[in-house]
Amino acid sequence: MAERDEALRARYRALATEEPSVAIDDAIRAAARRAVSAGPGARRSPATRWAVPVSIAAVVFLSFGVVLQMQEQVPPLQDETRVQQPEVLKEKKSVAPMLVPPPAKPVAPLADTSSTLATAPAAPPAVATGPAAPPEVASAPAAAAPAEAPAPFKPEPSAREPRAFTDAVKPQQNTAPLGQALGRRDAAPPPAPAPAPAPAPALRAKAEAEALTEQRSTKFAAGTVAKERAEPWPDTPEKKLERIEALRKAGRDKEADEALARFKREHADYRIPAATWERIRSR
Amino acid sequence: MPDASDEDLMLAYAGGDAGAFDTLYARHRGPLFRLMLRSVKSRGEAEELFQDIWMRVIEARSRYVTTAKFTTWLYTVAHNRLIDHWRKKGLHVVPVETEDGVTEIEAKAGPFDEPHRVVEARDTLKQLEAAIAELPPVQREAFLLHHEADMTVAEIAAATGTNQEAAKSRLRYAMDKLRKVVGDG
Repeated sequence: MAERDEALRARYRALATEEPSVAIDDAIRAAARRAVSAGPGARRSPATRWAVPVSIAAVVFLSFGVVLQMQEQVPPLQDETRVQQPEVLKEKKSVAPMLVPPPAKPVAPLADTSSTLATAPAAPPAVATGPAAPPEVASAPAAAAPAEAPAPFKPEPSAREPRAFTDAVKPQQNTAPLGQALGRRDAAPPPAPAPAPAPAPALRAKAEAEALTEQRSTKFAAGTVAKERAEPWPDTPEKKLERIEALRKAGRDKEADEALARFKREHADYRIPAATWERIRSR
Repeated sequence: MPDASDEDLMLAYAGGDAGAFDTLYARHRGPLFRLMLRSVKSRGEAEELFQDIWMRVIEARSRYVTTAKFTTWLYTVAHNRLIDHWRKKGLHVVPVETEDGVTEIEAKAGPFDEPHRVVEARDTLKQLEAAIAELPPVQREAFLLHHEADMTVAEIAAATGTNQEAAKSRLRYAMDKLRKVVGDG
């Protein structure tokens, strides 16, 4: 059986010699190549294969560069604020050990233009009008000009304060730039009424107080004062009234009047009880 | 690459290696072409079918998976294409119960069953060729797959979409008839 199959196979092999034409072969092979080169399974060249990853990498790199450049451009603005903040902080820090904030920086321009202050009402804001003017700042000039300077609320005037203030005022020229900067800042607020005419030392002292008030917040000033003062200006109206009453009882009417005036400025709407009013009213 | 299996070559081609297809094509172009040539009336039809089958292979490259031999897959494509061709020619394929009780797929009229093609010569190649042409299409296909593509009965069954018993029967009948023609029966 197997032999007969082999014979048949051999005969068939001798018969089966047909081949497809070369044209058919070429057409099929060309079609196969076309399909491979254009189809989805086509093998891509290295350049094509790396095109997408390289593009993504380029986009990421450029984005990073742009962001980096933006960060480099933005900092000047931030630096400016940073520069100002540390100076203020530095100033604040330097205030604590000296017991009184150094008025030199703001004072420098103001002191130099004391005459301008008197003639040009729009120049620096009248800080003296601000209710937040720290008492101790005003008390310092009071030492220089006890008559003209506003009498501060100072239950126990300390002998240190004038000296500390003087020490702080002396290096005026060293802090002139910041004083100028503060002067620029001072120009921003709307002009305030010109202060009452006063002798030059008093005006200078007052201007110093104003400058200090400008460069420090009321809270900070109050906090600083609180550290230095044995009896800071109370926070609540009731305590303030108690303070005024105590001043009255102690016979310090002038200080009591000042404190009462301050109280009215700060608490214009506060209704003082009649009994209390009797005890604290000006005599 | 010349020593690679058909399956590896096809996978390589599916992966974009056009050279793998050339090797694969060189291996199977002759047998497949002769199968087509002996299954249709003319060389022109055979070439048309032959080219169409390879186009289907090219198009199906991405779907090719190595679940069976490549030849089984290739000749399944060829078989289906032949069935389509016969149907288009009006040659209805109907199941015929053989004397063995095996269900076979027979064509009512094969492409080579014209009487004038039956020759009486017994010892020439033309006699064999005529005898092959005289075979029922399914028997002829089984014979050609066995002798051209070196397929086993199981592979023939897989390629032609039938069971192994039917494929074995077709091959046996074809061989018996052809042996008688060549004088070995």
